[in-house]
Amino acid sequence: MGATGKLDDVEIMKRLLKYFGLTDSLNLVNLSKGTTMKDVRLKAGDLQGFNYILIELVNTKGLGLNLSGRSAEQRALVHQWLQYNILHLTDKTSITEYVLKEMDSYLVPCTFFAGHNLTLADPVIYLSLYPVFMDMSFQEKEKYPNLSRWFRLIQEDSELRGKNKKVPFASVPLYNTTNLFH
Amino acid sequence: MGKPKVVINRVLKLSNNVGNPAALKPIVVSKLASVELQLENVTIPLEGKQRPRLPILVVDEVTRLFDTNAIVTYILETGKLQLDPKLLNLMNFDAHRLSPAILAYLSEKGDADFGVTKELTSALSEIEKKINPYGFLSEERVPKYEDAIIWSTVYPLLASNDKLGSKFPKLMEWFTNTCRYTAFAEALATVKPLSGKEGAKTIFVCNPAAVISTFCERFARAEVSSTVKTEIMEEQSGTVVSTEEVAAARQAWKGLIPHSAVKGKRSGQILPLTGQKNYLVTSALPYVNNVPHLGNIIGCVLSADVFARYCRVRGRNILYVCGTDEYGTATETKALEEGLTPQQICDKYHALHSEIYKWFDIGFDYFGRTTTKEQTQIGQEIFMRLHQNEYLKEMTVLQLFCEPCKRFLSDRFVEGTCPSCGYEDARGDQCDKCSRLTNSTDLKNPRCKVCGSGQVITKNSEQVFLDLPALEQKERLAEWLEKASEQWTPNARHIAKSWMKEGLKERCITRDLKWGTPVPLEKFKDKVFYVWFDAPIGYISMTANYTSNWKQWWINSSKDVEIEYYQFMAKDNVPFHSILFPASLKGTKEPWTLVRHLIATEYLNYEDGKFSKSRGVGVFGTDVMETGIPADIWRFYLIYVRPESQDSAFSWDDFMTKNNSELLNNLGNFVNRSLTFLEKFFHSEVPTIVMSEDDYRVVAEVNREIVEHVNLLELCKLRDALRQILAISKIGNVYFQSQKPWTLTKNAADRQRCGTVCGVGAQIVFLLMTLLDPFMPGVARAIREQLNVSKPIFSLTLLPFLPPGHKIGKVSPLFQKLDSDLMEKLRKKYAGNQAERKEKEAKKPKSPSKSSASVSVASVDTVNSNDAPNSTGGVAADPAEVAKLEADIAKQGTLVRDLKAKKADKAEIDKEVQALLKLKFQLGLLSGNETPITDSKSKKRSSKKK
Repeated sequence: MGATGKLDDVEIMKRLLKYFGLTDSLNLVNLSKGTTMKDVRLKAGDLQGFNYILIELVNTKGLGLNLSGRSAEQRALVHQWLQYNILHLTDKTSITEYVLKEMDSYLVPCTFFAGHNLTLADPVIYLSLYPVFMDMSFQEKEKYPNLSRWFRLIQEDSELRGKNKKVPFASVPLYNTTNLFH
Repeated sequence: MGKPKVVINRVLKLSNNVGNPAALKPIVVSKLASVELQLENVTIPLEGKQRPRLPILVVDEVTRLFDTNAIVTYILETGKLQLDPKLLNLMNFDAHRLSPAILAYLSEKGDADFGVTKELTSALSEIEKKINPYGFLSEERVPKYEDAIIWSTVYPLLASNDKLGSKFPKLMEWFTNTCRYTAFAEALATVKPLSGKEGAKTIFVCNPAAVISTFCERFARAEVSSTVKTEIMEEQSGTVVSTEEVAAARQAWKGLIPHSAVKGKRSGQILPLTGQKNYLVTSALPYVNNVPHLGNIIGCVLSADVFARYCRVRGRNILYVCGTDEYGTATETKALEEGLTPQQICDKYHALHSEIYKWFDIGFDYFGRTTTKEQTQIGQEIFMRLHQNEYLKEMTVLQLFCEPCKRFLSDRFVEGTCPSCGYEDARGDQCDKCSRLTNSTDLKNPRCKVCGSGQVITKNSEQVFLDLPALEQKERLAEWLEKASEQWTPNARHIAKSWMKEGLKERCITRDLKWGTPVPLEKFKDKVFYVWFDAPIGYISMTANYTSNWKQWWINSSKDVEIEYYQFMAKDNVPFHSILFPASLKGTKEPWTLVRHLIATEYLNYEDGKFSKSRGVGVFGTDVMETGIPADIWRFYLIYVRPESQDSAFSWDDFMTKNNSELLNNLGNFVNRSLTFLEKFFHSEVPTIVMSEDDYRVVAEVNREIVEHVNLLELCKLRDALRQILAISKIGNVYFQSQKPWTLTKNAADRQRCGTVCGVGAQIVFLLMTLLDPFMPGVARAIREQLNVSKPIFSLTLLPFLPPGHKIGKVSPLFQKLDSDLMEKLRKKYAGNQAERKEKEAKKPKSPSKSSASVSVASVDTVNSNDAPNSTGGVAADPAEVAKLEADIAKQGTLVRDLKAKKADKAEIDKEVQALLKLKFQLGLLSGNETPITDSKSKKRSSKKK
């Protein structure tokens, strides 16, 4: 992954489907070269857009892990953050300080993006944010304390992390600590 | 039977800013789905960078929905309705294409942008195609959810009678029809949405991310108008300069270029001059016995050095004095251990300190010592004047006296049973087990730590006290403090005022020791000055060693001489410098120079914790010299994390990251690029510069940073001042990125422009050299060499310092990358716990105490109270060895006691005492505990801290 520019959506999507235990469903999705998360389609039926396709596959597979959300509230949040990922996080140049601060603020009362348990949203956002976090200095990471806390947690999953390196975080604040309490 | 189930229906509330049409979607959908959704209008502040997302549905603390389509899915699920693929596709179409296109079109100049109009037209025609024969987007004869989604998004466009609407008559018809249906009409009445650009503004104000992402989309299509681009870039970098600033920059640029204010080498001594401000800078005197560690260095000498060098660049008349604080118990006992005299110990360690500071490029005008005759002379004189002015009191204190040793024992030399909890190894001032503070006289069964004897009695001892309460009253200390502290750092002000508030009490300024300044009163001739009375006098005596005209700096009643006295220290030294020392001086009734700017830092921690003797964690001056990383890099990082308003921490990872990102990629990259352009494109000569408006804008941006930088430096906010320098080099980098001189050089037509850009770049490099000089003098020197200039020129604005045709020197990179392997190695070497050390020790051949310099268990930590640093040579805690040593110690202790009881030959006793001390010392090393001899936990003795 380079310092700028688009991530290879097809690679990301494949990786995520595998991670969620949907390897069998890979062939249901049209992942030809150059497909993006926005225009990806299911081979059968009309459904378009990785955010909805992912939810659909997870639901039909019936993996029983409630990855798409345990409640109506969580399901709505999963919709929201998967869409947020497509709109703001797939192009690395659009991940601005504004966006990071916004995400940080929504994580204040939450362990994960959809509340207190892991859902589809978290691994997806992890893969989008990884190149950004890799480039951040300790000082920058401290600007987003909740997001950093979430990232630090989510990257512990070695299966998700794969070949990615662990992004280092300082366990005591090195810089201004006043923004710890928003 | 049983209790009826109580179902509480939460009322869903949608918060929205007034007139925001985005709220239409959830409201309509809720009505269609028969789910109750209330609208709540909120007012939002118009300023502030981060905007709240509106409309938003807050269901509970963790469920905050701002994505209107996600709100739709929630409402539908609540209303037990299905989400079918057709609806989902439409929602994605809305989010990915339609909504961004509409917002882009309705933004400030969006409708004039061809690319935007094209995209919107395409999206609208796709929608038009989806209208079913009944005239709706749903499968039915009435508008439903599909219609709601699209209708809400297009509302601001189509309700404003935009000219684009006329291109889509079918769509307009659908729109007008839909407005009349109940759910939709009611929504309009509730929300009262604005339309057109006004409506779009209500969306942008709560959702700038929408703007940014739509613009990013447009960038991809490369049909973006330049005004939009600059708006985004300026919003993100926040450096929009005003026309006045640009005009000022232009004026300054065309004006005279000053000469360097740096004074050459002076043949004489630095003395205060009339008609200008004179700067006296002192740093807290490092205690000679300790190898200074990073916290000491940043807190004191380095901070003062940056400020002193800054003064010199500005041509100020400044004297920077410091030295080692050498008197006191710790030196005495160390001397015993090493078999040297205290003077010899001090000579040895003073040289070590000198070496370390030289390596750090600390530019003292004079680095002295407290063990001089001037110290004794001046100290005794001050004491006698205080005595004459009746500010000294003789008082009796109850102290412990060791009969065999024939000396009064201060807290650090006493151990006993804690009166509160019964712990048998309570220290003289505090019990380790229950942490209560004790007085050594309260301990049960007290033992002398020097000889181990239990023959310790309480005896009255007469000591001299400084009558602070009288001084406070008669010399009006509080008044002075109030005024003076306005120029101090807030923490210093706070500490000083708290002390005063607590109420000043008499303070004992004499001690029963041998190594110190002797008290000049017959009755007390066997006593010496208390270290905190004595040490600050070191500032004066060292000046006296520097010049016989020292009084011009220190006791100057001339009205024409103004001295700005800056004192640098860590916060634990504040009470003594802010109250004790000024009070002592005022008590002599002489016009002493008192501190005007007391600059105190907080504590620097190490990695995840504090320095710890038991774990042996810490990085010291000697260690730093061994790392192979140049001094300037250390200076840079220490200042970067200087603990100003609160504690900070040294982290190896962060050290590496900062070097690589800020020094290498930002600063080094800019300087190297800039000079390489001159080398490659202009034969190493500064080209002719023809300034454009854009160039002046950049100059204005730089000027803004310079002014901020200087303001911060005057307040000694070194951390922030350093960041300003990095901001300037960032401006330089951005300037190159936008001007692309590497492309300009390819065309003959762009030659002049290329020359201007590279020329301006070179001037920025010169500026950076001047600004860096106080922080990284070595780097500044290197840049001067590469620029082929001899001195920095201080200026508040960017100027064409280098004339056209000026030939530069050889260009080479300023910084090296630090890689994580090296950091890992260094972190392991200077951190870790005992187990790791044991491993390391097992691998290395055991050498008896590496160099007495790095073995500093016996020393007192100055930054963190109570903890003494441990040797990096490592500690192997082999229990068998420990047991053996303990047995030896017990045996030796008994031997000593017997000899003393027998009143044996003094020389023999001393020899055995020495042996005993050596054993205890070794035990301390092995077990990682401080030796009993130099109990640094004793708070009283930690007054040695500097």
